[in-house]
Amino acid sequence: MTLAADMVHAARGGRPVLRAASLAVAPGELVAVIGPNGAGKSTLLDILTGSRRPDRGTVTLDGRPLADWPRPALARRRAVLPQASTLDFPFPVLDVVLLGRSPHAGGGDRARDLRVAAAALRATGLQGLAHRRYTTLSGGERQRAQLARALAQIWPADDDPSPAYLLLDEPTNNLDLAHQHELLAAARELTGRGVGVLAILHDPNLAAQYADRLAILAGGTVAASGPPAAILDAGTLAETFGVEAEILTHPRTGRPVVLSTGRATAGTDRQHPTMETPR
Amino acid sequence: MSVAAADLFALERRRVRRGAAALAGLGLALTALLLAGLGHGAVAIAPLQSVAILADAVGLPAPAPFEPVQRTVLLSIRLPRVVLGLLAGASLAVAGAALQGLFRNPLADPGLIGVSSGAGLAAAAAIVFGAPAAALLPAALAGFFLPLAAFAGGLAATLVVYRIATRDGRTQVATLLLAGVALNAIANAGLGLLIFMSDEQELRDLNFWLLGSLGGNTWRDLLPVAPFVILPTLLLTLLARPLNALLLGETEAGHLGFAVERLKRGIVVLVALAVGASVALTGIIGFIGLVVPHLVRLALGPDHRLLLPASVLLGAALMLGADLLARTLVLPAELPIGILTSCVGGPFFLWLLVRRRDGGLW
Repeated sequence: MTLAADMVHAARGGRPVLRAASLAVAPGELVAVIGPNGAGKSTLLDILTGSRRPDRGTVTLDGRPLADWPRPALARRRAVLPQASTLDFPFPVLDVVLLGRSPHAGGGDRARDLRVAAAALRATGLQGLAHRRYTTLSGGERQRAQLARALAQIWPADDDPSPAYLLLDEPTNNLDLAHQHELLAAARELTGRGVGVLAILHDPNLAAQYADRLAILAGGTVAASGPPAAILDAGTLAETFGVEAEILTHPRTGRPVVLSTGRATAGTDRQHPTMETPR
Repeated sequence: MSVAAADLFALERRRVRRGAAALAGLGLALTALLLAGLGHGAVAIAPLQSVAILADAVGLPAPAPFEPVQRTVLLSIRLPRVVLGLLAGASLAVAGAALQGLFRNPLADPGLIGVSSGAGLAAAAAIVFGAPAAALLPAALAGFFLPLAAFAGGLAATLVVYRIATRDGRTQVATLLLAGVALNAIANAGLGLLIFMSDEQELRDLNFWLLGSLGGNTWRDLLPVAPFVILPTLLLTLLARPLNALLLGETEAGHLGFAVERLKRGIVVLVALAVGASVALTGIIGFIGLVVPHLVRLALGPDHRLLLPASVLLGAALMLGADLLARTLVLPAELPIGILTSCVGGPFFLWLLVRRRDGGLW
């Protein structure tokens, strides 16, 4: 049981963005994807969410191709937290979270929806803000409200133990340090409930601290994948990110810490740096 | 369950009650305006008499006495006018609300972004060139020629604006409004050309119709077109949940399991139908689609589950109120209602623009 992309290819404007990229996330693990700009991270995420189809290769959720899933059924099994949300209307936070229950309607179990919304608000530390208007929240609170919405969407049903997957698209952009940690800690906690979490992150240190498994995407393919301590080394970082870096071990957490000291110079022929299309 | 869940239940109950009360209040106001609209005029009819005539007409016992002339005036002149006002107001308002949801922007209005004038141009062309073109249609469709033309014009205009203003699922407000300006200019040029080409009688028809009016419609004009107004209006009010999801963004709505492309196409077609059909009957009546959803949002919040039905009721009520004013302000003549709605709507729009600078609604 996984959410898996297998040997996917994708091109944008005739230029290949992904080449035979394979990545899977299993229930209960947090996989972080890092990589330089233009490596194809966003495209890979779009393909894993099903909002974009790969040119070649397959994407499956629990063995079944994404395209074969009915939309609402798929939505009950995987949720996506966008980079930044575009909601500009003054909904109360509760209503934003309840939007996550959309794919569950039909059953029309409003009481259950409200119980799930309450639990999702608690899980994201927003229980006091249920009545507040979304447009009056700070950036960090908005992002947590969106996370609560995503949680409400895939909240496990009592009668259905199927695992759920949460995809985070650079969720810590525009957040200050404390909020970055808060958000990733909330995501981390979900893995304890059997949710498979895949997060695209910019900061290798945050990724190394929270992820069970790290995948480095470079030049449209997964260049390295494994436990953070096993794959983060100076050579890989020079090859993939084009930086010179020292890898230390955090004295308390034991996780690797990346100290980049400058652009890598000799021996590394980085792929042509390209701008990532803003989303 | 914990305190938080109980809180949410209470909040939800309060809100459902508040929404129901608001809808009931709007319903009452609409009923009052409806009776006022039926009763007001050279032949006065008291509200109870209106009820009596309507009851009598459907074969129920009449609760009050009335004169035969009152019955004739109400059933063949005032009732079609009031029904038309109700339908036009409801459809324009709900179309505005749906467009604002689709564009994720409260400035979208069928009139401002060119949908109404697209429909208007096509309908005017149908008036001027209509006879030979309608003759080409099968007899069964000939009666629908004007509304069909207006629908096609409205649809074309909506598609053009949508294509131009929306890139990668994001609508640029400035582009949206500028595209509307351009479309309105093109439509006005077309209308000017039609006016230039038309004879005396066509000119009078066109003019009356360009300024917008509820007058002069009979059951014969109204009945064939009414379904094209009623059906899309009702269908649009059913789209509350997907429209709410759409406010999160198109991609996000897709992740929530909604068929976004189908939804967008559906909204565009339904809006073009509702606006086209109502424009075909009343001419261009601006700003109802902008003002009504705004007022509702200010009072009741942005939730489409309440916004759409409340817009239907308030749109109908405002239109009937405006028509009452149009009928009384310059007695014995009658002011075209489009002039009246623009007089109120224009300043309201300016106020919205000013308000917008302090980062208000969007």
